[in-house]
Amino acid sequence: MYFIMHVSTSIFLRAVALATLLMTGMCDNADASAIPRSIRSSIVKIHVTTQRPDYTMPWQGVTPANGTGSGFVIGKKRILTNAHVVSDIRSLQVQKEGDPKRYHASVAFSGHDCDLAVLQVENDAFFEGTKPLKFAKEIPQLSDEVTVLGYPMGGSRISVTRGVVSRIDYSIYTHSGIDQHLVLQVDAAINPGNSGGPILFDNRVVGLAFQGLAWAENIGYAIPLPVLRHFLEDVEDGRYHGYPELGAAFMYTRNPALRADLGLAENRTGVVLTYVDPFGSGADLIDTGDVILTIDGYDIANDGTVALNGNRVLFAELLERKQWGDAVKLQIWREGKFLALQVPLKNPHDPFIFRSIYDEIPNYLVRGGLVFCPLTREYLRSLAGAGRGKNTQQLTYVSEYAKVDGLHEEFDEFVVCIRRLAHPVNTYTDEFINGIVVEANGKKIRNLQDLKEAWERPKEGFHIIRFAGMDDVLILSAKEAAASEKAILSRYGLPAKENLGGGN
Amino acid sequence: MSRARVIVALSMFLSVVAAGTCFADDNSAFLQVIVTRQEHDPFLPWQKGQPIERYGYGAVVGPGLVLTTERLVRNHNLVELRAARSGERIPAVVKISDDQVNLALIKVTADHGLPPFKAMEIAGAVSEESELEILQLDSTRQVQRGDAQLLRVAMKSLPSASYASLTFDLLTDLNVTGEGAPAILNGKLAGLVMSYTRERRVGNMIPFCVIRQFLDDASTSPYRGFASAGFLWKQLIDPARREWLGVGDQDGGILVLSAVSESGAADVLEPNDVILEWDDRKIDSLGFYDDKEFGRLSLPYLIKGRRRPGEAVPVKIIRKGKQVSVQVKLTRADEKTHLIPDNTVGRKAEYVVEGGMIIREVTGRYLRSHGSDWQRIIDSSLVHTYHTKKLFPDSPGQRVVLLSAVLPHPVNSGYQQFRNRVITHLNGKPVSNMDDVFRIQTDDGNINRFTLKSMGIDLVLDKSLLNEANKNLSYLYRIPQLRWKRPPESQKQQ
Repeated sequence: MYFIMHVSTSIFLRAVALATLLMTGMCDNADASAIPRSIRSSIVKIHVTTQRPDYTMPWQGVTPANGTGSGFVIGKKRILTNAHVVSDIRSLQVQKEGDPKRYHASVAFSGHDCDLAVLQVENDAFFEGTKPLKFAKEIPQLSDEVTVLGYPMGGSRISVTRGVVSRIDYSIYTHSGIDQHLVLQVDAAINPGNSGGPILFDNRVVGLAFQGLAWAENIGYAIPLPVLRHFLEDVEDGRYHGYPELGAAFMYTRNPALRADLGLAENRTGVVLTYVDPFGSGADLIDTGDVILTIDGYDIANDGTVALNGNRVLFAELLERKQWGDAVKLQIWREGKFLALQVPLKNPHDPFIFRSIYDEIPNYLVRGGLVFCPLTREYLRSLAGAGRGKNTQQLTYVSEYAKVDGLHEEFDEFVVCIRRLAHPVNTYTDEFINGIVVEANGKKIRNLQDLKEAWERPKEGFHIIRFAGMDDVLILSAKEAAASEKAILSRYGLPAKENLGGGN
Repeated sequence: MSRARVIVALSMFLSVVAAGTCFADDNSAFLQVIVTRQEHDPFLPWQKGQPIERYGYGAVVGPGLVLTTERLVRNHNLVELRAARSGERIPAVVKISDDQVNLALIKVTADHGLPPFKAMEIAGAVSEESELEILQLDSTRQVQRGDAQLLRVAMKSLPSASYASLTFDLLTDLNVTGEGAPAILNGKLAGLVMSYTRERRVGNMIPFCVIRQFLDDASTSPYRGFASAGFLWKQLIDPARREWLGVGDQDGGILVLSAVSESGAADVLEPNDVILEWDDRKIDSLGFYDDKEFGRLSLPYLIKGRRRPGEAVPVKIIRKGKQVSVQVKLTRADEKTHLIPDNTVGRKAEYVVEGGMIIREVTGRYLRSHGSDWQRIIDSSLVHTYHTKKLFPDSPGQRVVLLSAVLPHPVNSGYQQFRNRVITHLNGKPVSNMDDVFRIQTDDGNINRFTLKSMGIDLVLDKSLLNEANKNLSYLYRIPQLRWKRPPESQKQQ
């Protein structure tokens, strides 16, 4: 699940996926021979060539990158790894310990919200000598010693390191940039290439290595068992649905005056909703000011925790266990009355969530040498090093407040003029770069298709484009814009003047 | 230099300047200005930061009157003057300071044992051939002199504030050590140095004409300041846009983007108006006109340097393809009419601390106090409001009122994570500025309900605990006053 939170480019700087992470630190190398051969032979090295789209020049990709990750054989002749290892894949091969041959593989399922992927290999010969790893029944306890296996940088053979579980907590999964799930923090050396490798306790899988902290030594994060299980159960029907979203922000009811104001009796505890996401599962059922007293029968304390298996955990953990299509039972205190709600959980299409995008070709529209794109997290990220001008800042604002401030009612997506392909027709338009189009030729613009259609109907020989928060208006000569099209596409090497159909 | 530009003198001398008094080798017309300044703490507005001593210079311009830069005396606790070759510090007070031109007039307040200071006469003209001399004191308080040459005359943003002002760029071989150093031409004051870059040996100064205008205004009460029209504009070069606006290629003209609330341009100029002539001068498409004294200058000087607040000027515009003549009445720019004033001068913020909740208005200075990365650190909605609406309140007097921080205390438990959140209502009553906050607190006895923008529930404090909590907070956090409202008399000063 994700929590309602501000999307900030700064989070990209803090936690990094291990496929690209350079970490230094002590390495508590363990003896690989201590791991049963049946386990070692099922740890897979994954060779990839990936190519991300260039979100600043959306008709092309960035330089392809070669890399490696890890994975392990699970049942049904499949391999579990991280989604970030196999995203935007152009070539994918897998290799076993002690086998020089590489086998072609494909991605069966990707869960970008939980950074997990299932690979399949058509050639059965690959699975000879492998044995699916067994999953533990429960996650390890703090200070339990775990073993990390994989193929990190610094060698070609399997690596085994050991460490202890130092924390079990919620954290942002950097692959999507916004989703939070349970993570297992271990102090074992986890390095680039470890991504997707198993974390074992008593030779059973309790997690999967996936990210670390760039500025800290010997802090590695693993996706813990409950998240692995959730993903694998989700794909059992042949499709990955993703974590359903309740879609609410809440505040603890620690303050007695707040509790009194809400009319909560002394013995009633819970969390109060401060915001309800219009795209969330609860949009039509829950409301701001509602106090959630219980979730699936568990009492929620004033600090948002529930007692679960002898531990106090955040109530969100119960939502984490839900699959798409499940329902959650809530007891609500609303305006002095108790209310029992059953909220069906779903994962609706939400263009304003600004989750990182993978395996998709960006949409774009080039007219008069101006490049228009829907606002994406990727484009925001490309601006991270740029100055914080007025227009850039506005993009950050809408990415964070689109739903809170009701902008989602006026837009299906934010159409941004991302760059100018210099040509005499557009010489005086630089100040509109990174502006959000609100109107073109008198037509309100809700999406890129609207802009395409509006462009066909210039006003008295001019294209008149209005941008959010700008007093100024962009004017182009319709005749010159049309005449410039061929030359601009040719000069800047564009294969097409638009892509509105996505693709991958 | 493409051509020598002679800058012609105005014939009027100032009443405050002793007629015929010229500065030659008499160093008593030039003083060191020593300022002990102390900025208000932006986050704990009842406190001040470390006192800092700054050194600059000033020119004597009348009996006991010294002219220096506004930035030097900004947030002063104490102003002292020291003559060349003297150790005596003479107390002085700031009589008038104007951040819109970076000038301040200070007055000696005590007797001293030095010979009488002689006033400098203001120069009448400076040209690119003029042999300027910049004066300052060395570490032994001997007078240092350095030659300077005029490089450029232009309207530029002041180094001390976001106002454009006529600026003379200089090249000098003197390593200028303090602002306010006088530039002398033939024994007369040609300008005051504002800033200097040692590596490039260039600096800039407030020129004689701005000084003269300032002193002339300061000689009569009340001080009126410099004129402003109050509209935003841009150059109009794009042929497609000119055609769309119905403006010919040869007509020149600039494009009006918007008019600032409560300014002279409000209700007169409209977005997409094209200004062809201002005050009977043709304006080219880059916004320049031919000034009779300085040659090609940007339009703002025609407003700020050639007119006074209260005067009306004729403006010829093209509106919706037709030529129209309008009159724009000039006023003094006053950021008090803005939704978010910049408060460049660092005035103390009005505030209320109730139950540890710090309430204040947003200013540009407050936002920037969060560091160079403030646009990333501060809530993007607030930054967005600053960038797009800061000049445009929905109604006169509207400001952005903030819950800037919460001082942790049991009375506000559960709320201590809130910071820089916009307040829309207090005790259920709408809030649009600090006056509303003070009124609500006075009427209701205290503030115990906070409604924040974009948040579905109110933050509520226990009213019965507030008085005791406030006393406790005042003691714990050393807050001498839990609310501070600017006294009416100081509201007049800016």
